[in-house]
Amino acid sequence: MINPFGFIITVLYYKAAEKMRHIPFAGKIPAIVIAGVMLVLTLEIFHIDYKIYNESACYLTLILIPATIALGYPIYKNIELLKKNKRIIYTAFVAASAFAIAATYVAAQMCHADFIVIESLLPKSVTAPIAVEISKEINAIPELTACVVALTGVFGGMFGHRILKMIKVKNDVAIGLSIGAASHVIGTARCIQENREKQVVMASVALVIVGIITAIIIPLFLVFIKQ
Amino acid sequence: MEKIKLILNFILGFIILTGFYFVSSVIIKFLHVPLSPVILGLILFAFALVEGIIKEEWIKTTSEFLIKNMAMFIVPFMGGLVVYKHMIMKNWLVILVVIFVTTTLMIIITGLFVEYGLKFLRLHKMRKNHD
Repeated sequence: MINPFGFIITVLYYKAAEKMRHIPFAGKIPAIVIAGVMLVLTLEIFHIDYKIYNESACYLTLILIPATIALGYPIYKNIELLKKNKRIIYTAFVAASAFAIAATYVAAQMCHADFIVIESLLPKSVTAPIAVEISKEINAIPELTACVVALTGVFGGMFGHRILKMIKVKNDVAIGLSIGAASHVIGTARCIQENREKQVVMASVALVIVGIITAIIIPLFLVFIKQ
Repeated sequence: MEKIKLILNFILGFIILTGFYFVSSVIIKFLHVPLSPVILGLILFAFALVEGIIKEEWIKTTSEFLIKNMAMFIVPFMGGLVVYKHMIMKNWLVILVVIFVTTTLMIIITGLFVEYGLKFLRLHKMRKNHD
């Protein structure tokens, strides 16, 4: 019989982290980060082997497959938005994905990171389920990618609006697209707090489309690099 | 009765979503393209919805549930960090610097591009109407 420990502890930690939303200060940290830190600490302190943990936790990651495909639903819901201002929006989507990949590669290369770390960093601005999928596809480390993605989201959520205010970007479409493309779901959650419906919708569409475009570009980019 | 209907609807949505995964897995296997079958499934799923091949009410409950709890399905990956402890200890500063620098640049560039792109388009349209 498989050990249900991993499955139970993950769901428990995540649900507990979600409940912390109402606590001031701690409520600002995304549930995924709180649950992730608690999980890593638990595994480390009690010297639990990851294999034993993953024996049942792997069923949670299995649900990630239909969950990622379900991201097509918000696209369908907001298809009208994607038909308006088509040229600018699609150019921005492609430019944002290409820029994120190129900038990450150059920056990481300049800091002399290990190649497998660079590969795991490449999909960092994409929503976690898609980023993990890309990471698997290119044989990087999905575990590292998941954490880097969460950190990117937290950074974008904390500073995204401030940066855009500083450079005087005021259009809701521009703000939503920029935040959604750079810091996916966690950044988008900040747009919800700002209570700007248009930003939220734009950001939630941007994060899926940019994810798809990035998933197409990265394998091609790596083929090009390795030549 | 209502509850049974909801459960059946949930299962139907689940079957449809996994169905897309299997179809796109087969397609990828035959085409040999470097794309994850999950991503292709997502594209095909969105396409099928827009084209009306799949009805919204078949997948609404399941999709909303899965998207709402998405972060929970990611958490096990973070637990995997313990396996790669040494690699992260060696590279943690690089990782943080790369995140800060590239995310900031990306927010600035995308924000400015869309803001001024839309302004330019609006001016362009106004001029056209004026002529």
